[in-house]
Amino acid sequence: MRSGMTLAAYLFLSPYLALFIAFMLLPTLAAIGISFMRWDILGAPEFIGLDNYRQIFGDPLFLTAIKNTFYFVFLTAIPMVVLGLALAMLLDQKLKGTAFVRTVVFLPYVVMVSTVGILWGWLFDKGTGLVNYYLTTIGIEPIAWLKDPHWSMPALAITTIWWTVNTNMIIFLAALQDISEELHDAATLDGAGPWQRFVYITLPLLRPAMALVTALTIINGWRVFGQAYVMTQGGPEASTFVIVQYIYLTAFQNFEMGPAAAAGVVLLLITLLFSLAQMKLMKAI
Amino acid sequence: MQDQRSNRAGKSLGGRTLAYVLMIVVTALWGAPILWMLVTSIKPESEIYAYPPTWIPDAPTLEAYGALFQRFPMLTWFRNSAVVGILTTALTLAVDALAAYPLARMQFPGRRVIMGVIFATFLLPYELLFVPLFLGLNSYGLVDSIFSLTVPASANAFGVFLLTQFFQAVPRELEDAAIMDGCGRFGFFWRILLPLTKPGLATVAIFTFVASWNNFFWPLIATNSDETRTLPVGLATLVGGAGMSMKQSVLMASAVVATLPTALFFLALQRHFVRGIAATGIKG
Amino acid sequence: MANDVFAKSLLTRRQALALGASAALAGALPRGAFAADEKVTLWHGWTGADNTTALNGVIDTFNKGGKGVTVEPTGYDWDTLFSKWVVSSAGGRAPDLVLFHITELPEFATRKVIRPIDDVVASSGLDLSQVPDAGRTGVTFDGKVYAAPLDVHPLGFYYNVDMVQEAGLDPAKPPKSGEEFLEWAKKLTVKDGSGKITRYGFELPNTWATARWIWFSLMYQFGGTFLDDKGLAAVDSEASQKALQYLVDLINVHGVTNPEVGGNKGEDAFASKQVAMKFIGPWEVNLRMAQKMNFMTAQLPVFGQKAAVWANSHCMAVSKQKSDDKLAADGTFMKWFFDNFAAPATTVGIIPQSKAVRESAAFTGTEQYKYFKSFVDDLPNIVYEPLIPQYLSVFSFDKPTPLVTNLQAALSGSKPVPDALKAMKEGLDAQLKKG
Repeated sequence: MRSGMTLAAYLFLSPYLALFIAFMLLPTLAAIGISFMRWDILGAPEFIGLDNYRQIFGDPLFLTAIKNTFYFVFLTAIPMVVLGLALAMLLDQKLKGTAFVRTVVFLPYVVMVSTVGILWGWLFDKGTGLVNYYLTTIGIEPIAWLKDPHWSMPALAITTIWWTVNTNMIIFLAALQDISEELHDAATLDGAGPWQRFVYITLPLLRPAMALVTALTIINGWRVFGQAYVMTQGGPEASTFVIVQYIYLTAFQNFEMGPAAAAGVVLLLITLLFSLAQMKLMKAI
Repeated sequence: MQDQRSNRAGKSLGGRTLAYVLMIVVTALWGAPILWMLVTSIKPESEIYAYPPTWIPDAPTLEAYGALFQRFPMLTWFRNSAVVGILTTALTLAVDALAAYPLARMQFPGRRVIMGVIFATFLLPYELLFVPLFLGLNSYGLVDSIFSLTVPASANAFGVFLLTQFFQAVPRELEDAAIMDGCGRFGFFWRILLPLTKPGLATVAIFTFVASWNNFFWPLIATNSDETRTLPVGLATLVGGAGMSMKQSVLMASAVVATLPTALFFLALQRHFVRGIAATGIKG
Repeated sequence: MANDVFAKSLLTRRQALALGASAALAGALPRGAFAADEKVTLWHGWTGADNTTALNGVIDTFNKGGKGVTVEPTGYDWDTLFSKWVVSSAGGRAPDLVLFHITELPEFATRKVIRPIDDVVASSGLDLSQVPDAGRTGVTFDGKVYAAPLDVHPLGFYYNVDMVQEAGLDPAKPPKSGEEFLEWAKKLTVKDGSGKITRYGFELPNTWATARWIWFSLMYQFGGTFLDDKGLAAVDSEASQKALQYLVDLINVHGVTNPEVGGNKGEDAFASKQVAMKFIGPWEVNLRMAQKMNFMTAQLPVFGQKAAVWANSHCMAVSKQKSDDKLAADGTFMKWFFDNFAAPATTVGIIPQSKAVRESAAFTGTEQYKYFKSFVDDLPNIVYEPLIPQYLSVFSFDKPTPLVTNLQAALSGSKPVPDALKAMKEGLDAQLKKG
């Protein structure tokens, strides 16, 4: 019986595993291998031990990239989760128009990253951008969003939230719809107000969804690249230079595959660490 | 959505008013950039930088769209993207569903290891995989083919994760009963599990299709001519880059054209999409 | 081979039939050379609807000219062109011909993705003597010619004629010196009643490369050079400091420009009337005309002791292949393209290298020419950025390099000019010493 199940399991898994090994696992192992080599794509790779890791950790730009990416994760993680939940709560109500609003909020998800970057790069322009135009109508002085190193990362965070908070919203929305109505009704009868119902019923039941959303948000945060690359090219004054941009340019502009792969392995370890810590934390709560 | 039962925040008039005000604010914040994209695409180049900004063009024109469709093999790129998107989605659904079933519902040696390895590859930036992948495929003569654009992308881990979640929610008793009836594991998978989790499959379909449709860097590396290009790769060459003057209207028109199919795909499946995740319980 | 797999699966039956029919028709045509046409692939970075259309049109003319060669062009964004090219070269799938910037040539020659073409130039009859010295030097590496220089695109001076007239200045007499320029810049800077600046005289954005090109031009005008004799950075020289200080003073002392205004990614300060003057290459001429702006161009004013202006060029090279059997076809097209460059030059907004083409009616007779003329006049003063094998990483557009980061820091005021240039030199030297 046991071995029968094992056989069945692997039969079901085999098509995926074949593709996974050929097109994900082998390239991944190759990338990890390359992180110990000197290779410019055109020549033959040469084993150099940990030199690439020494090189990237001796490169101030890489350390800047780690710091900036962490800042980005810090700026986006909480708003992405809280706003995702808030939008889901708002649009979970039995009101006319929620389906429409949901669609509007979801639309940005299907926009290509290059478009997102160009569009928001313009919206955030100090002189011609819509953001400043409407801010000045309520009396706020124009901000040089993408040209001031203090504002560039927040601008990037806002863009990213606009673009991707909808996936979090959808997951929360689904989870909210699973919470049984009777629980709420019973609580209401017991005299619980909306806030108490939220804290004592909704939140605890949302924990699994919360865990998934938080993990995805943090992993995607660490892997941010496209919008930063298109909007600011990592500037001004290196304020938005992130890890994947470092990897991309090291690999495809300098053609130094070794250090690029090493930076990729470091990124893998960071996200793994964060994911494990988050799982532990979520279990503890 | 029919199955939305609650109006938790606002039974009172005040609550409802507040909800509507918030909904208008949300619609404005999320809709305005998209609308701006649309409006800019039909403005003549001389109106684009009107200040204060105008939401209704004085002399709307479809010139930008004309430039796209008359001068570029847009239909070829569209077709390539559609073929690649549909094939990738179909293949992903097939292999991911097959793989998610045992991972979600069977106990067997190696399960945890497989889950762990799949998760770990999910964390490595894909940019790094492209060179080994390209050289590997190239040595088998598979580059610049439909194969290189669809099959490698189907090994994505995300679909497996998501479907595993969906499959776990189907009650144990159903499976036991089906197998008792002599349905067999594949019979249960095909005739009971898949129909029950149709919404889940729709969810994965949307994620996969959107990802495939918008994918840029791999198709760039893997294709060599206008005839085999997908839409994002083609569009990138016509909007103008560094050191090239760039027309905002053409840029935005190309964005509208590229966004439309995925937006429609989403609209068509969105009912399933929301219910999809709901039906399974991310609740685990 | 693999190509066919793709084509088959994507073509509908009807299209396949149509293709077959047209192939049959083509075979039946009297032009015998058609079937024997050699196919040559060309990768280029002239993206944008108009550029691509113009280029494809010119190539169509060539393909129909019965020269026995069919060229298949494919466009890529400059950034991705090189990634794609190097990866493809590693896989033996490089194109036959590639277009890139003359400043990148030493890097590609060093990486051995292009081959010397002295033989091709000789056998095709491409007349390099039509090209100014700077262009010829630019395509020569290690004593060998590696590419055909096609065009020059120097920085130029654009100004808004309406604004100049409003300010009581004469648009027919643009400033020629630093003093005159400053006078214009001051008069063209407009404040509202409360003293808030609503329009700057000059655009000097601290993003992308514009500020770098302007500073580079001024450095040479003040008698400086980017590299010293040993090939290390000379950016902390007196001339370089003077040049950068001049620009910083335009911001802080004179208040005629603001590094936060304008740039390259759609925040079009010139069209949106936020600035009256800007320095940029001839590639914006067509855009400004499409925007129906009342503008004019002029040579860059001379701020220092002598005229000097940043420029770059496109050139066409032969990508290294396993065999050389397409060289003759490559040469045929290269020469033809070099000789018939007026049309693409006009649409892309660049100045032909070849004197014969530059002075031909096909170029001087265009409606764009009145704007191109000042760029042509500035050709004797052009300076290329250093032709070094580390060009792409040192002069990267999209990476916070020591060059970009320190320049931005000086313009934004977060570092004094001498400190910024000292830090820049240290960073550049580290990059330059590396292979």
